[in-house]
Amino acid sequence: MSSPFPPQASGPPSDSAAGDVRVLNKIEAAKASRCGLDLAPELQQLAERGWQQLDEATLTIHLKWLGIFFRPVTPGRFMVRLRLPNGVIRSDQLAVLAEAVDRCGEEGSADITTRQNLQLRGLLLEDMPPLLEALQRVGLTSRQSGHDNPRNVTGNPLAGIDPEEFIDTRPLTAAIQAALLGDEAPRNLPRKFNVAVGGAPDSFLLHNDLAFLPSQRGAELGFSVMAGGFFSGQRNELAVPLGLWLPPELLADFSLALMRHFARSGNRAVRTRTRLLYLIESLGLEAYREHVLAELSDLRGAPTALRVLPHDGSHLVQRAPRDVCGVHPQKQKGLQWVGLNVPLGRLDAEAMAELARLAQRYGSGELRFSETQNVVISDVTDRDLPPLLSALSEPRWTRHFRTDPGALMAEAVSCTGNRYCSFALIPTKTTALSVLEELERRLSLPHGLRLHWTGCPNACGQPYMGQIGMMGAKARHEGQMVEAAKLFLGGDMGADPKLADLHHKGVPLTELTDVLEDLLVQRFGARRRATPV
Amino acid sequence: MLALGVPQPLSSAMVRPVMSPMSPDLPPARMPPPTLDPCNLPAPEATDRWGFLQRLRRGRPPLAAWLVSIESGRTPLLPDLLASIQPHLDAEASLRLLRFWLQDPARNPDLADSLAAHRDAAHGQLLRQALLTALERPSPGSDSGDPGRPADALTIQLPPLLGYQRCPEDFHLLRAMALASHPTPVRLAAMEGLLRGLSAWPLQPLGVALRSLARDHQPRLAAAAIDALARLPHPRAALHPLRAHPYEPELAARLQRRLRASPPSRLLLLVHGRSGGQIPEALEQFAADLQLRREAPVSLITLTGFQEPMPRPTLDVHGPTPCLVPLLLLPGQHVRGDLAAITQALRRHGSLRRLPFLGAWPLWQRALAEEAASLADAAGGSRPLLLHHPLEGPLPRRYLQHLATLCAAECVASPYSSPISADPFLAHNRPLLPLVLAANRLTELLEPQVGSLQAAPLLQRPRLRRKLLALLDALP
Repeated sequence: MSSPFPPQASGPPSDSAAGDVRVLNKIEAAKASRCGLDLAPELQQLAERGWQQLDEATLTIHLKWLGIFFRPVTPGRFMVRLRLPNGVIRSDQLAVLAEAVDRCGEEGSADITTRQNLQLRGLLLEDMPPLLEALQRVGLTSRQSGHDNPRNVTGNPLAGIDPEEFIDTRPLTAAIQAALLGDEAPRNLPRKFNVAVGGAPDSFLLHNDLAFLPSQRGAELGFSVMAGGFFSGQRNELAVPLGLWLPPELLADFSLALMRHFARSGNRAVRTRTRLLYLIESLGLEAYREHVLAELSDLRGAPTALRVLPHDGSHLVQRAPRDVCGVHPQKQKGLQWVGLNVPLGRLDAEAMAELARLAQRYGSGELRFSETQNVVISDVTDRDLPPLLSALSEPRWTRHFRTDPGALMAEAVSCTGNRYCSFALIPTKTTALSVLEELERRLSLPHGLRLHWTGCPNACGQPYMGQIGMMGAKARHEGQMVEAAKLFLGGDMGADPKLADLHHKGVPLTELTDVLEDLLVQRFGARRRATPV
Repeated sequence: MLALGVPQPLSSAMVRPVMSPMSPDLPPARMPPPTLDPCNLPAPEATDRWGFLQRLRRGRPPLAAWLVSIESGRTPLLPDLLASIQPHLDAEASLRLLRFWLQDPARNPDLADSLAAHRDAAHGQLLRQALLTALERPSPGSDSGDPGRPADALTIQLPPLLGYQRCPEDFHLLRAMALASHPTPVRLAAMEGLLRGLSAWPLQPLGVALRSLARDHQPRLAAAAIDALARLPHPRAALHPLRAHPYEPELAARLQRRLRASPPSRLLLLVHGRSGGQIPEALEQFAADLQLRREAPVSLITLTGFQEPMPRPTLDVHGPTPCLVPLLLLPGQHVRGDLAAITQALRRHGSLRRLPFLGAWPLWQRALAEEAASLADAAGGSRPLLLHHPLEGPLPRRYLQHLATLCAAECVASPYSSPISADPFLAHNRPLLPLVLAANRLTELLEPQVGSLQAAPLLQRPRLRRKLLALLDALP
């Protein structure tokens, strides 16, 4: 790796790296001034007094430690992002969230995120105290889900029910979350920190800062550690092997040690170079590995650190993630999961309430969100399957979720778009929806295809991971500046992962459907229907 | 190299780099980046614009130069540019841009929200003035006051932003806009303004306005008002009466959902009771009817039977705080002394809300007055007698005077042990109203003298029973 920073001396990490910022930048100064978690007891009072009492740093930075996001595009209407380790949620929990969104009326909605998470939109500050109380009551939290914090810990969306899984990732993601939010964890990281655990042959996770991929070491199943994944407007990297192997019970402690080291040693001076990747580069891979092991040794003792073994980085992830949609047998005999496509991950209150009801009525009451922004109802018996499918086929629900989506819609992923994000250059979700529906009408495809949509180069919609990626842009068209999309091709999340390359610098949105139609026919085996459906 | 857990040194060669750096939008490595001056801003379609804007957002741009360039029209204020300079805007700079936008005839409506993100008196004043001006501006080709006429765009864009400013003085303007016969989008915008400033408005008039809007013929307004009422303190009291409104099914379902999310609290009805703590059947039936109606637990506690230690009430720790309702009619010793002790004892089991004694409720007093008026009508205008247990002290005296005036009646002390002889009053056709909820010694001793109708306690009088049920049903 090339290094933008001079390498640091090897040896135990310094405690003063965070303090290297001689003059704290605005964000670091705000973070240093108080911990957002301290706002929790004041929230009721703030809601009653009105948040005009809040200064800008509290409003736009500190509240994110409670999972509350001020949105400049909708001032006064807030977003709450939850934490759902492994994307698992119970129907009673989802029902509580549906009620919170419902009372926001036309402003209320929820997005399934690419981190198997859920974020609620349209909330007033007055909604926060009762919502956070309700979350606690049903065992949910929104804590530290934004800004420079460890984000939702992702895992195999089919964990525990997957006939192909090597290991159930649910207890592992839960343990990691507990460690990263626990008393020993830092509350002020240089930047956000993404962790994921793979449990199946299709667990593509190399876009994370820290990913644990299932790996065999002799007869023992454990995890190969991958680190430094990072997508941004400036740079895109997949995580690389750190050369370490862990038994499952060490994942939480190792994650904590790595995050503590990151908090202390990561660069805080230049916001664009604060992700873990840059720390690894600044130290060099081998030195970085030593620092993390030293941190683990300090934290849990040398015997624990000695259980971390050298490794060649090989792992058991062999192919791109499955399409979870449809009815599939679970590893438990007589049970199946029903995967539902939620078009581009957007839900309204009514759909959320119905999903909760269906999971309760026809499943075990458990649902999971996938990184493709879809949802899985698990543990459906043979007897309950027909009535569930019948309920899902009611016309009023097919707009919200389908078990048999088209080949383009099933795994389409999208960022929020300019309705809620001031950086997005196009209305991502509505554009994607209309383009995909039209393409499905015109074309038939022999297999599913992964299309990723993002509104700006920040790449929240992960366009480089799609077989086709779209990125919002502006372009000149017939003398006018118009909304457009850059096209990327060739993203591969299989055994030999590859990021997509730029294919077109800016297709006007008015021509995007036609351009994609040709592309799908020429390169992806699509066939034009004789009569569009 | 530390030997922790890594017996053999690993080299970078052992690990397989999966991907090499990819920088599609980065400028060539050796080119110095352009300074953050407005003249260097790439055109909207340029591939290097986004990178420039990110540097602008994170760097230290010459803000004054940017403001001048935007105000002079040299640099178009597009959403991506605004998002990038917004973090650098202090209150004064923000105000300048907002003023510029408001005065720009070709203003981009998408910028409205982001431009008003600062909250201070100056922003509020500017937005208020702009809104008032827009409201006064006649729409071309349409009659003033026509709800169907197209609205000035600012009358739709500005109310939410004004509400966001949370200046209490703006409540009246936003309320008036929401209630007036403006085009629906304008009323909805005003409603959104009310919502975004919810905590800043005076509670009582806000509640009145929202209750009115919740019955609006425009379903989107009514829905928003129902949702807003659900956010006020004790939402059930405001939402419950709306059940009688003839809503379309969708709105009725919305109201039901809000009510379900505001479950009624458990009521502990404190009544006098009879000797030994016995509860008259009429009170038990009343409590049962109330429980059925509220779909929440209702318990009876008697003064005569109250003793410590109290059995621990079975309360849902996550449910709403239970409420002690003293169904006591007069400010006697029970109210002035016993009630505080009982409340204190109950609070040892957990939080408890205590209401004033029933006799102090204006709505109950009004109900008594209506009953007295009805009795007087039936008796040819003769003033009723309100029979009450003898009370002493200035407070009870003032209370009884107030009640007598309110009910156009005469209050007469009548001990339970030896009630007054009713004969003289009956001879003068004076109707009686014993101030007791359920049968007690007074009513039992009176009944042979005056008959069951005249001696009937208050809960046996249908109008009063219905009224008390409704009052208690509406409690949070």
